[in-house]
Amino acid sequence: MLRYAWLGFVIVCLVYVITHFNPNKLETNLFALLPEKTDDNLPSHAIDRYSETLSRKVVFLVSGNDADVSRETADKIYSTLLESELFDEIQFKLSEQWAKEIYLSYYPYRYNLLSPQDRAALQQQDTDLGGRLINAIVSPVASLDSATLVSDPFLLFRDFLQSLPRGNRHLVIEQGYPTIHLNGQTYLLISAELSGSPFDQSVQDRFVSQLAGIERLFGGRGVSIHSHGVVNYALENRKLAQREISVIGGGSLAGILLLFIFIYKKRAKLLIILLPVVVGMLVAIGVSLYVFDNIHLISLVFGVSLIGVSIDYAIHYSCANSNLTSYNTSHESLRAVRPALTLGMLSSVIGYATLASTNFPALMEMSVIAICGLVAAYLTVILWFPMILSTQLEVRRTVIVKIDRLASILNGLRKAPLWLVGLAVLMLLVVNIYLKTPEDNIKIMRASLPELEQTDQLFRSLLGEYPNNQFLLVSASTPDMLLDNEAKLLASLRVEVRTGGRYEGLSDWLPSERVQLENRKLIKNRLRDKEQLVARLSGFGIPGSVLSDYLNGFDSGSPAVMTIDGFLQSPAGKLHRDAWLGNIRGHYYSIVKLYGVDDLATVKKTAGKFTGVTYIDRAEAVSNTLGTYRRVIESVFPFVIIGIYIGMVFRFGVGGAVRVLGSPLLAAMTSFLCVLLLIGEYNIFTVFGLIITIAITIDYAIFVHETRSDVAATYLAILLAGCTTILAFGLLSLSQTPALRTFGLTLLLGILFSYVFTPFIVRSRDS
Amino acid sequence: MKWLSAWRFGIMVVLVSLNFLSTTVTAAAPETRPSMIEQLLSKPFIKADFRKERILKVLSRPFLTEGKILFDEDRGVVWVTEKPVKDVVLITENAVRQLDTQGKLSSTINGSPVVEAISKMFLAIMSLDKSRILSVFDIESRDTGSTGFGLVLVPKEEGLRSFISRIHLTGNTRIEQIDVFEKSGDLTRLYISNEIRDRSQLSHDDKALLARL
Repeated sequence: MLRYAWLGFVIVCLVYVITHFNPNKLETNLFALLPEKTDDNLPSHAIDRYSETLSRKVVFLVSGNDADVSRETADKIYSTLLESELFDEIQFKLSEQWAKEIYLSYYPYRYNLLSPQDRAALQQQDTDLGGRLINAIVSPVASLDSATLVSDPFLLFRDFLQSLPRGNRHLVIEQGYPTIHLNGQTYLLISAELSGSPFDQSVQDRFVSQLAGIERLFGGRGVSIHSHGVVNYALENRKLAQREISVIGGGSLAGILLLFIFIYKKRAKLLIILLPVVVGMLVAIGVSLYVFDNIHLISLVFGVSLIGVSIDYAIHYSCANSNLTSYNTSHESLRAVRPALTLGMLSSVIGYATLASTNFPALMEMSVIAICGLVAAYLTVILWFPMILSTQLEVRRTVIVKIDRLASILNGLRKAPLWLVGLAVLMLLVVNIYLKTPEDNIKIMRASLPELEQTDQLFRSLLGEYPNNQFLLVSASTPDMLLDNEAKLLASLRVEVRTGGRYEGLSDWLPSERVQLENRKLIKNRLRDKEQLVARLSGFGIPGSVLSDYLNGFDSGSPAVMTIDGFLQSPAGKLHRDAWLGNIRGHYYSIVKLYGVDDLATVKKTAGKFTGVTYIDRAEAVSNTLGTYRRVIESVFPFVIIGIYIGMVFRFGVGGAVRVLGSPLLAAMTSFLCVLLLIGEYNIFTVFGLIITIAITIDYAIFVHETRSDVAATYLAILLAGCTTILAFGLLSLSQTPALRTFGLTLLLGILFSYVFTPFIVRSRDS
Repeated sequence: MKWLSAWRFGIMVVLVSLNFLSTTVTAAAPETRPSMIEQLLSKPFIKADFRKERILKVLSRPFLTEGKILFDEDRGVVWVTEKPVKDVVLITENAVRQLDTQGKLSSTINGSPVVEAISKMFLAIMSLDKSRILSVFDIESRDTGSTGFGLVLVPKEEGLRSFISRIHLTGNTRIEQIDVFEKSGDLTRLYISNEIRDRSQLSHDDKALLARL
């Protein structure tokens, strides 16, 4: 009955996976793996919205020795990008028309707009507006023409426009093209914003196809083309993960098959041995999809490595149901190994379940995949194998001879006294605690991608600065208060932080309404004695009629102010709208961006002086979270071990439980020591590697303990199981993602050490 | 935006540079046009007097200024207005600075890529290096009849051309008059006289001003 129920469940999983699993829709966003922020005061929605906007930005760099050829190529690339419909916005050549539009967007509010210097001078009442006008006409560089004389005679609006941020100082506009010159090369920049998420695989595919097309059409001929954006990283991470899945999955399966071909005759049945692995993966993916709606690519890479573990149940059964034992039927064979299999499975599940106890999405996903995969593999063996793999498997004669000899040597080894086992574990524990150097850094989740890092470096050298990962989040209850707060913050940062770098905020482009009205009043006050001013200017041949439009502008109806909504619709506003987060839960938010700022400690300190300003360092926050979770798991871990020990005592007795648990503990501690000596540091994934080491290698100890007459079969199964696990985790330890690499290495070493220690520590039940 | 305004005022810097296209060429028989261009663009001066008429459409009469110009080939230009008001502007490759009546720095515009680009172009013209001028303008020559010979400079770049339609340089054996025709219909007319090319003839005050570049 159970057999058929299990079949039904597997079929349901199969249908669910077929209908819901789309390899092109796997999650690739690194931040989706990380815990949600626990700080209730932090508007995570605001931060996520800003991060999402930033992640869509892509910059194309067209470079060459010949500036004209580079410009021509860049023009063609721009047209191609426009036609692709892959981007919502593309910014490239700055036309005179565009510059005029910016000018005209501010123009209606010119009476309200002052540069910081003019505002300060007017506040101190030492500005001679008449003198300014005369000097402007006299000066060779003042650009006072007829139109300006009428609309902006005192050049206050011009000064405001010139005080607007200039952006990166390496960037010049030549013939309208944003250009950087470096080492004899001309670099042209095209900025674009993707229309979809960079983590969407269909967007990634279209992007890479577009890039390939551009390279094919326009590359060479002395011109290089680079692109830079989150989409590049997401794409490379995805390709890397897919490669690793193929390598680990393919390698593990190939390894298993080769081993079995080497060990057994009658190879036709060998494919059945892979059934628990297939069912395990199917159930793991199906249940994970159901629980989480989607699976992360990194979790899938991890899941594939479990092939080497889930095959263990099939290995133990097939060894028990072989000519190495004297069992008459497949059911008898199963009965012999079932207790050990069950205990082994439960201990593994407990180990993986500790991952799920955290609020860490990555670990919860991995935990569900692991538990479902292992339980499914176990049930497949327990419920189906006696029926579908009922005939006895034949181990090759040569293997039997060798394994018999090995088994008798190992079984006959003198076992270490209990006190020595305990002492060794304690000593290693003390050494590890002394040596341990945790490194909780988000970088462990990022794969090393040298080519992209090179492009990164190119951008840094070109720009001379680089956007900081950190930023400041400013909030207030109204948009006007927000702009005021932000302006004060910026002024303070520019004074307090003296070691270079720059800051950008919306208030650099748009004064608050309060400041606009104040500015207007300041100018109006200086024009109080307009008759005197007109008389003075008449003496220089400038008739009063010329100024009448401007002077009358102050008296015309209610003053217009430029609102934030109006600004965001303007050409300048569109360039900076990612810095405006708008109203989120009754508060308004904006972002102050940092570029090339090194003295973050002072930035943080300065930000702390302002209400409604939060210093955000996502990477630091995540790294801190990783550290927090690591410490929590480290504190819970001893209790997990105690729990397992108590469970073991019921089955193995006090001494037996010490041996069965002592071997994996010793293996884990030795593995940890090796990791600390080899790598010099450890992180949360090392800790999980240790937990899983214990969870897996305890199987070996249990099987050795449970061995009775079938010693050879037990040791062959342990050997095969170990080989497959070492292969899978050995391949995982080659991953380019540091977290997976550390995890794989810890497990690999732990399993190897457990092979060494188990024969010296664990006694079989009969002895 | 910085874009438009910077271009606008940057253009004026260019205009200034063209004031220095002055040569001394001995009278000779009628020559071919290319060689006239070479002749006119041959010798910059170190100091000259100027009279400038700023003809704005909205004004009923030109705005007149007089003063002197000091030029250092390696460092830049000092533009000294003496009438109707005193005004001193220092123009270098990277900045434009204004001095107040006491000779103290009253304003500076620097760090603007546009200012830098315009200043570099301006100083190239000051150097009277034909190839450098040709990188910015197309040069045409024209006869002005008995008054001499002229050059017409037409900006190559769209940005410059949106503000200046053309520049006329007129002179007999040297540049005597520069007319800048703006797209807006305004006009600047500059008359150059009393050029000095020998540094030893500069006054102490002139040298002090040049030293401030």
